[in-house]
Amino acid sequence: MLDYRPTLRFAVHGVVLSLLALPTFAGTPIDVTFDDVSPDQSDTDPSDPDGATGGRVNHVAVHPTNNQVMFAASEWGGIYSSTDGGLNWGFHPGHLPLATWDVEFDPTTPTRLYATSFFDGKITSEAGINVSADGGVTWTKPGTAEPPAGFCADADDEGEPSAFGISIDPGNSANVFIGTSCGVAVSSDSGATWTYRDPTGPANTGDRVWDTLALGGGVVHTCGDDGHQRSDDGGATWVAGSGLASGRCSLAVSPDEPYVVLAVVGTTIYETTNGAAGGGATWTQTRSNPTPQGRIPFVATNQRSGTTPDVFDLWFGDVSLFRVQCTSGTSSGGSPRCGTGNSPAWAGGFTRNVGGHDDTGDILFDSEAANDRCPLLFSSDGGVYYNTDDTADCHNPNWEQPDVTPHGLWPFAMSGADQAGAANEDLYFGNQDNGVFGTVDAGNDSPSWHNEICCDGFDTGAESAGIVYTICCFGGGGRSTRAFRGGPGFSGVGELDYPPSGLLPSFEYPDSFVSYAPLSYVTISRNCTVPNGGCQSADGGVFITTNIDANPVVWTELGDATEPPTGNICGVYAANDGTPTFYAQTGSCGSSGTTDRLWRFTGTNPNGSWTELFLPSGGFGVVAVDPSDPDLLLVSGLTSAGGGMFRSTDGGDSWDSIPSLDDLMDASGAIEFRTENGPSDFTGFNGYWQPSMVALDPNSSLAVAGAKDSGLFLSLDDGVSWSLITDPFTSDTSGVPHLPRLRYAYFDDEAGSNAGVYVGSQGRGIWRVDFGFIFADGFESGDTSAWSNEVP
Amino acid sequence: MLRPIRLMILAAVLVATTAASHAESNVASFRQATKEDVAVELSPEGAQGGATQLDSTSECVTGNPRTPRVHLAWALGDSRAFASRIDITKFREGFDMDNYETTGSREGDLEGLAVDVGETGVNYYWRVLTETSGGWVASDVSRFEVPTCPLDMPKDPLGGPEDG
Repeated sequence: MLDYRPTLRFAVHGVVLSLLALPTFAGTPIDVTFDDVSPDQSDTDPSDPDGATGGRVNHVAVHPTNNQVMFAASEWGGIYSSTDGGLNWGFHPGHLPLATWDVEFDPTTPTRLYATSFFDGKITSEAGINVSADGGVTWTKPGTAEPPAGFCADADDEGEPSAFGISIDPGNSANVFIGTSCGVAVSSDSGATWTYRDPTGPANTGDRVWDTLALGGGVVHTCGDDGHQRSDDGGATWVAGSGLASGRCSLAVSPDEPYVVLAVVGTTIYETTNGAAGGGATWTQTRSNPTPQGRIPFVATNQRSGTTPDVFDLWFGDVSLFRVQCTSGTSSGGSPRCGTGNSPAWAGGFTRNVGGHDDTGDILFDSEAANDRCPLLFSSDGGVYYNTDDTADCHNPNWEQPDVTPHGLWPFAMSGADQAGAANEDLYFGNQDNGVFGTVDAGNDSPSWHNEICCDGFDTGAESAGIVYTICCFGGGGRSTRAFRGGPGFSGVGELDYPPSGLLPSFEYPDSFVSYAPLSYVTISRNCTVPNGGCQSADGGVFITTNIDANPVVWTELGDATEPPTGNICGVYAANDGTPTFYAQTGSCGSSGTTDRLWRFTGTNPNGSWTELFLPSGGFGVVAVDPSDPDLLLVSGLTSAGGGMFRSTDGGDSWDSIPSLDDLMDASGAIEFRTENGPSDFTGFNGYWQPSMVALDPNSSLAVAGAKDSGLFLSLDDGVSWSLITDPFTSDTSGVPHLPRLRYAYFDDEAGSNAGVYVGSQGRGIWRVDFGFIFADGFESGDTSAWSNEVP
Repeated sequence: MLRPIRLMILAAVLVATTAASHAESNVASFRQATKEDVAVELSPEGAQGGATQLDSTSECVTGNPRTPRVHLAWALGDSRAFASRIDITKFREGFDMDNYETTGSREGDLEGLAVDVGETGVNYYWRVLTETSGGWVASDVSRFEVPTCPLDMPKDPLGGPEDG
């Protein structure tokens, strides 16, 4: 039976915040405590700043008169701010949309801020344009910030709004222009009301506008899916430019000549010197991009002084950050002010070699200086970095990671291993471009994290003897994704030989290495083309070893003759009740599409056969098998219209729907189970399905499920009945966090301690969730017969 | 004055025509459209036999980081069509101003193309010209976005190159 301590509360960081709708089981509320245990810093940063903890920050803003106050719009984790010049960053729960793009201060009333975000899945969406009148504590979405009916080029954007670049008229801060998924939103009353404009004219419908540039006097430039457009009357009428490509873009103006505008579209740098021409600006490709394709390039300008003719700096960020001095002219037209090719030569790159993380996002300059403003802060895939140089040489910045970064991590992997003692829990996770982290004391209030290596950590696998992890992307002609093995806490790490046939999948959420017994692992590889990516042999498969520490490791392929189509194998799952059982998934593993398939293999005989499993409808999405019960599975089934959740108790031969979980996944109709244009990985708008994770506790009847937008759900009865334990709608006032895009769960089953789970959220990092009750017996024994489905 | 733009087309592979399986066949390359390409006389708008159902899907190539690939597919309006060409531009005004790239006239596989495109984040406009017994017929213009395929390189313990 369960030993339950009926203290009724929700808490974050151990502090009771408020009582809301407490989850109940058998009529009894559950005491749930949330702790954000994401690391504050990277200990790899001093030697390699591409190890990081912030997660990507897209754009940043500085207070117009106080250069210590800054805001940051993180890619998946919401709005953060700092009041000490970028050393310490805190999350703003009042801004509910979490996939954010831009944030700006009103230059004359700095307590007013604007922020933009991508669709949040809600039928009554909070996303798009948000305005704060109290310094970012609370935010509202004005009713007119919603695109009008019939206005959007893509009709799905009408109910799934997203917004992008913000620009405020430097001569009249009441005039605000924001690029959106449906043209330009224009406000002339400081964001109280908005009017949507389509720069391609009233005969068309509004397309994506990625950036806006307001220059005063009614002049505003835009770039995006319709290339370049300019209005001279505050957005009422527009004239198209020529020569600027269509796509993701950034704009900046010369501080000396308003008709000189710089842009980057895709990875190409453009300039126009006749940006005010009546017939439309003419753009030319100008400077070379020294390091093309990080994530999302940007341009910015900075006035310099002391020379004749006037000069200014162009800052350009892609993989790295560069600066070049531009020479101003005296009239419209003429040659590019910032040169062509690499002439004048770029200064930089100012990232990995000077303390900052690659793959840039934005840069801030000192708002308390008029000219020669020092760069204060820049953002990137690693979060934010402040400039330690405030001398005249500050324009050759030296960056440092904050003391407490934003916690906007994007986990691509997570695993744990039980160790004796409440504090001694091994926990590992890999991230998009922030590397692989691990701790051996995850149970402590503040775990002591170690950032083993930078970059893309796609997989982790763990048992009490150690860790397997993978990292992408290596050059040098070998495999681009490599695997490593070490003891607990990364002791004695060395490269691991993984099967010579095929290559590990990359950018997939399921971990490609799964431990099914001490030292025993299963892994998958995908078909490849020799020698691309270090491919040695073309045929992928599913492989096991019973000794991951052997030298060399002996890998045995399972059922090659009947294997799933390994051209697109994406996930493997393992269970062991004395007989190991493996499940392999092909397709996108729930990320996109409705054609994912699932297979089962029982035992370890290489001549055994794979059996394909079928849902009543749809393709497989997210998948979990109980590690101690091969017959118990939880999955999502995806169809083009939606889908639902399913449970099997016979190894996938038959399935039951889970209506209570379906109802939670779409918040009883308040959240779209299937979005059409919702934000997808790497700034795509491919839409998604809500289910993002399911997990079953091997030692009890606990199960959790996670969604992109609708929260974290708990089951005490092996997935039959469910309850919501996070707050996707009112986390700003309830104090109960909203954890989006939950990807991973690791149950912490410690005798004598409260039951709990570690979860990994794409955007909000790693959280410890304490369920507030103690399992009285059987925890460490694995004797699941002792467990009850009911809370006493 | 528009400057000719060379699209970063690394390779293009014609693939088989079934929807279920895009088996690779022969190789094509895009090139800047010439005066001859531009001068192709098109059948009047609304003529029968043009390609329809233009569709695109994209992916990052497994094992080749920083390599996006876009699959273009369309349906023939005239099953007796005997040639096609694919035109592509990253400028909204590209087709109006004859600033585009083309595969040139192709015979054989007529309903699919996989393109490894180099410039992430850019929207490409594309159209299919189909040669039928009634002459060349142009499809409507469609659009696709090249996805971001990141490459984040650790300091290589084996001594290989490194960058961001």
